[in-house]
Amino acid sequence: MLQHKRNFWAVLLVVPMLASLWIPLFNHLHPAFFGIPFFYWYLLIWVPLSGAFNALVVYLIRPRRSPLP
Amino acid sequence: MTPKLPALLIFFILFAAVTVVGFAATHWRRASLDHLLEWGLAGQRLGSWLTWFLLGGDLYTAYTFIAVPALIFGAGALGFFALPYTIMAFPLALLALPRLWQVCHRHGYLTTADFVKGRYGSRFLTLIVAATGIAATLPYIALQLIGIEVVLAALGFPIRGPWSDLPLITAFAILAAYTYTSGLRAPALISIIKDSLIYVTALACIVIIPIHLGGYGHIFAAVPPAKLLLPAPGPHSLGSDSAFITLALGSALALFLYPHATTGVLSAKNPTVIRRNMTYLPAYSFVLGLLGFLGFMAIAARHELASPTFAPGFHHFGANFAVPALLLANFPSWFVGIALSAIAIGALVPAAIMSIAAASLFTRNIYCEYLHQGASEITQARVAKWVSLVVKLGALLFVLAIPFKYAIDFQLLGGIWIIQLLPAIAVGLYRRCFHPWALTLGWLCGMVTGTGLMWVNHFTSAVYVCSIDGETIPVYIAILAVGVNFAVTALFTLALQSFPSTAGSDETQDEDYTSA
Repeated sequence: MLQHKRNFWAVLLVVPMLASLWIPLFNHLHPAFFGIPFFYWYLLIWVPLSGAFNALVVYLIRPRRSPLP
Repeated sequence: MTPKLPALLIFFILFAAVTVVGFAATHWRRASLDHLLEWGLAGQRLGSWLTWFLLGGDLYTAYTFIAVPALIFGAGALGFFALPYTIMAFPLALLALPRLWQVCHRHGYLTTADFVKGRYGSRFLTLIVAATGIAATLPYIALQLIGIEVVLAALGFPIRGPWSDLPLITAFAILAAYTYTSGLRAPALISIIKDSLIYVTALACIVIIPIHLGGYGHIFAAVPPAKLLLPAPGPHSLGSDSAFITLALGSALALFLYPHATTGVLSAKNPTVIRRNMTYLPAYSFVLGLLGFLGFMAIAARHELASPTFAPGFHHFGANFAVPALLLANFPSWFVGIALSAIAIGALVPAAIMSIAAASLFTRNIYCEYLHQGASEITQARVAKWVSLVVKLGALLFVLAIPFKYAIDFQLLGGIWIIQLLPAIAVGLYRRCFHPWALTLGWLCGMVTGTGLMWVNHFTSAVYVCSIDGETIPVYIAILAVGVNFAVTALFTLALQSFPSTAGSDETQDEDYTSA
């Protein structure tokens, strides 16, 4: 039962997906970074961020022994 | 182009090193390679690091490193769908694949078709899953061969002529030999070399080439503005937004249905290794994104690349020659050798895993099922080894016999085919809610829709432009086809509920999918 509740944290995985598909959010040239338009460095930054979200969810939903009654 | 000595020398040294590692891999974590579990899945004992190298080497193929920059060189921003694609693929994999590993481990399944057989108890559906996997894998192996061809051309080997195919055939014969003897152990160990070389090459490319071209500001200033962003949606069109989203979504859903991907995943020693890997694998996506910039660098350097030295390469391989040409134009010969070796070895690793995966599917789900029921473990391993050779030979003949362009078209088609396994495998990992006959019919309709729409597009583009109410909406065909597949599957599942005797058996239990 407890594991079932913890699995709810998986909804966090939606955040990087939406962030990288919500095109109006990042389909811009500015602000540029080192001459790289926003579109590109925004998507690139979301790659490691998505890894961080995955790691967080793996940690939150990890199987744990329930305490003895 | 004349071959430059240092580049060739380094290429031969690295190729020889990889060959030695490939054959020596037999002795690594020694076990009897006469068992399919050992030959095809390296005994299911790979830890976190090795799984990371193996999956990285497996999913980010040489062709990816050539084709993604080539796509960006041609289409600009749309090519960056590769990033949301991988951003979406790993969270999905993180949830579903540990379940696949658990159920396969508990029941001794070695392929996804084994799982489908156990889950649905339908021989015909199993055959479909195996055949689709093999059919989608063959053109993928062929593309790896093309990756090697591009590298050989850049090294100065003749593109045309009576002996021009000889280097490719030699490279492939060596690959076939060590895959035969060492199984999955060979690509697992070689992937460490491959990935290290790719990381070094990528780092050098994104630092040194921009210095030659006057910085990133100059590079992006040279790109036509229309290619820098996705075109804004107009009054009667969604621009290319819908193409960007559906390409990313369709590719993400298809990725882990490919047999070579599941082979990599199933060789992990436990589900924790898989979960952890989904948090480190984005490191490869980051490198892929950086290499995507090579497409823009090639646009910025287009006058330099227009020199007659590169003309035969571009003539033969089109935009796919952009990356090798950039390397040749910007680096000293010895480093060109390292970079081109990285790409070539990057082709060998996935080609080996793909042929192992296809051979396992054939052996377990076609040979043992239809040709020789009750084949012993030793027979299974022997058949799989021989089939891995046949599969590679088939891919080689495919590349030598048909024009370059068609190989890419078949690969696009393969992506549309493999996603048709989504209802049976991905949904099947959670619920047995679909009827096996409905899944079969849904698969058929999805295949016909996908192949038909590709035919309408003359097999050149995987994006179909829908016109609804005067609006034009470009959509990745795989998404349309798998939508049809789901609709038909759901509809016939409902219809077949009146005939419970046809539902088939299910040898798995709910608790088989989660860790004890």
